[in-house]
Amino acid sequence: MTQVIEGKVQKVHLCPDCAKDQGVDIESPVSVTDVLLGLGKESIEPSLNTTSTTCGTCLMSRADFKKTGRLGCSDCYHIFRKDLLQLIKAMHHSTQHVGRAPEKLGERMALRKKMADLETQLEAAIEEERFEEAAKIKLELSELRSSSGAEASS
Amino acid sequence: MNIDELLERPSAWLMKEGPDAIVFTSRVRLARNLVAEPFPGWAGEEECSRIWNMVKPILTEVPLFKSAYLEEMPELSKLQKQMLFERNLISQEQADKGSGSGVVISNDESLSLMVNEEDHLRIQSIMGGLNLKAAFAKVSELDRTLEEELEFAFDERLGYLTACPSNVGTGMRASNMLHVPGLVLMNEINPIIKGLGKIGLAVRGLGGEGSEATGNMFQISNQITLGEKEELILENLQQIVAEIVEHEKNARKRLLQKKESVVRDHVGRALGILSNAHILTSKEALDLISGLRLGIDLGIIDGVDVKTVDQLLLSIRPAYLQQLAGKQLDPQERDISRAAVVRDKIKGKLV
Repeated sequence: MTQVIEGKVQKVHLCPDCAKDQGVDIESPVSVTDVLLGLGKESIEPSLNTTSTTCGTCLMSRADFKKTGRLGCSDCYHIFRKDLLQLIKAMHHSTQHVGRAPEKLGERMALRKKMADLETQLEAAIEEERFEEAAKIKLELSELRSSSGAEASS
Repeated sequence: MNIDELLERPSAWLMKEGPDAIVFTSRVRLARNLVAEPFPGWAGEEECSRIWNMVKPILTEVPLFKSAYLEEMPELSKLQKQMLFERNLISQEQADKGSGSGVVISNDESLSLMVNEEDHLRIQSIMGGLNLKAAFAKVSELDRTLEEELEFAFDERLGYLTACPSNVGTGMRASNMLHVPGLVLMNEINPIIKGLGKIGLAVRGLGGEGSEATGNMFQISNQITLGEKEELILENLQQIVAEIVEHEKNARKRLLQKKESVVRDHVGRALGILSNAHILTSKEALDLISGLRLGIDLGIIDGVDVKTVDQLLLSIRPAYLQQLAGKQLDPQERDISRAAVVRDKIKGKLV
């Protein structure tokens, strides 16, 4: 069989008996549905019963979510975040998206990162009394700030 | 393009490069939702209609959908919806939806989109053979075009937000439809299926979710949509499918070497029954077509065109049979007309 662990594909050759010895249960694969109906549900259940939060945007309550297993709108991800993170972790073994993002958002994120980097450089330059360089960085930063401000207001 | 034109021609993925001997299709879909709008399953029909009216003009303007087919579900007849489902262009869930849900199908059928199925938008591309990257490129292009006009729900931590948390992150499901009669005949398929489950891949039958494996066809797809880049998910699936293809080739080779009579008998019986039967259930027909396809792939059948056989996969489905008959058929009548369709197409011999 082939295992994919953290993006690396590894080949493991196991006969059904050896698999059992190694604790690999090839008889009953774990599916997302199992996780949804078993693990995931158990872990979110207690909190679902104790609070009565409702999403202000779509009016879905925790009880509704518990019943349907589906969210009411994108804002539900903020309202039920704590429960969802547990459920999502059980399903996907991760809670951090690393794939693509909407391009506009990607540009904003890149800009924010660049500005953060420049700020760090600016501090270092001031610290080390490289004032000419610091002035240059400051100018670049203010240009970036004004352009991002223009974008935000457009 | 009108609906009759679309439904009458063979499925596009069968006609272009076409399926290879083992990997029939590659399919990639993306789930996308609009910010702060109720998801279709939670929204009322009125809200769905509002969303449909909002996205419809945008979809009409997309260059990729030039002379595409676009329709709201209530405008389609029951039979037309069922045919679109049998072509894998809409889901059964979508076929059952009312006002506010719709479908767009590109002129060459390689790209399609469902509006207000489980998510606001489901973008899909199907291609013949092992072609996941090309299918992904196609859905990505549409995704990028649409995001210029629509604000998609996205969270820096959780990625694209979807109605069901099982799709969150990339919102991407990639799958391959494989025909693996060699592994089935050699009794080697079950450990593989179970192993795939262990590494986060789902295995389903021909009809998708919940369907049993008929005709030795299996659909393999990624389950995990969060925490890995799209390219990596596709690469992993492609690599594993390529590995299964090697296993299947190997099984076919061993079958011919060690069990030649068994294979010839299997293929010969398939040909015999398909050319002579007058009643064929869907499952029996699919299982026999699989035997025929194997015979062609192994070069032990002559006079049967592979494209003709592949097209039978669609033309023997219930809605297609009823379309051909021009009337509704009960299951027994369908079995009779299915056998007639097959007899008409299959005239080959063993070599």
